[in-house]
Amino acid sequence: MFSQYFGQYLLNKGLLSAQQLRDALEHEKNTKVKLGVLAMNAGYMSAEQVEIVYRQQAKVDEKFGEIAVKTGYLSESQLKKLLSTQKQGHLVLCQYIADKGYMTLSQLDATMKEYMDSRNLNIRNLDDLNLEKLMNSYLNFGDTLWHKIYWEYVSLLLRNCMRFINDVPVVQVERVDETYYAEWMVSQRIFGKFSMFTSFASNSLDALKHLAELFNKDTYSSFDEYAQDGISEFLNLHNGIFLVNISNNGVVLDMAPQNFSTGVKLDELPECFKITLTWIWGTVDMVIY
Amino acid sequence: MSKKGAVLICDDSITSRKNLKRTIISKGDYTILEASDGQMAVELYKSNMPDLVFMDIVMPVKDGLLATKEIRAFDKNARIVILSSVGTKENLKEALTCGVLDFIQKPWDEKHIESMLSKLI
Repeated sequence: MFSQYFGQYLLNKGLLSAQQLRDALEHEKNTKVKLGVLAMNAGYMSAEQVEIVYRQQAKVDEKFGEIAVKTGYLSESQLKKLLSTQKQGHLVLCQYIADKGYMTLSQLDATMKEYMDSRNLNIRNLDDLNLEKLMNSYLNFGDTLWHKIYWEYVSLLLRNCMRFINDVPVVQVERVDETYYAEWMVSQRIFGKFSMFTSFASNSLDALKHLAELFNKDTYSSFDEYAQDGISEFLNLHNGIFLVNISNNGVVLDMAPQNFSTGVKLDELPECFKITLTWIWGTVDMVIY
Repeated sequence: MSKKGAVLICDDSITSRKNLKRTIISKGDYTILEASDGQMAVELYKSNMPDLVFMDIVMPVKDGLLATKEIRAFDKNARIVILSSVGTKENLKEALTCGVLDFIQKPWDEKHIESMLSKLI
């Protein structure tokens, strides 16, 4: 995840374009070895144990390492060793950016130092990174009273993208001040102690189709009933996990069935945010208010 | 060959129903009934008396917990398994009060479904 945050920092600083960052993260993803594979390779875990942890990971909002330690498959020290092998991901990212000529090595070095300093981070101690602190740098919902809830909601979405479609998007948060249009939208209302509108929307049916294919692990010839249902189920599953997390903090919420709409126009809504999710294959918005 | 039993799948998601149906059929010769909301599930249950019900919670028309209560009021031996993404303590408590057989948090895995089907034998 460190590469994601650092990449996002480069994007926000205008040092990389969204397209360049997508390419670099895609390269890093294809190069990075998963913790489960490293654990098998080191002889710490069997393939079956890794499978069990992957299955468990799909249900609970916890990292691979956390589950593996809890279930007794890995000791704390084994996990630490594996993480230090895996944490070099940001070097792959930096190497790619330099090789492509997007930035020079010295520019990268200076920017990395500036980034680490601005967040009181220590490059030699990436294991202890405060992820919350890192995510705050780019999941910025301004001065809204909803900041904390929106932050929890969107950071969970990123973890769910990794968990269910194995592809984390580049994220841009924007307040919707005027009108928001989308060709297609699926929405779901969360209600109870507070009420929240949540949705996935896009003007690109191709991008929506691709997202549905990744989530359902299936292929579709068009953005048909099954593909639309796939996006709707992704939203439903994400919201379900969000409700479980919130409920564990003592706040009871419920959610309504999903709604589909086409040719959507949302006008001047208070506290409305568009979270643009950009993958190498396309862009889908999450609109919340 | 005789059927191993009848299973009612109630979920408003067409892909969830399709995936669950595929998994159940791969485990044996079951008759599958499908409902896309809680009201339809209650009606199908009353007219077919299936051996097992897989029930989602968040659905249009009538939610799964209400449908479960109505089915259990009609048949106190009804075997209902909740399959939902909203595995909060509150839903779990309410489902258990309704007398469900089990509560499986989505995304489910085949082993869970298989273990529920084995209770039919």
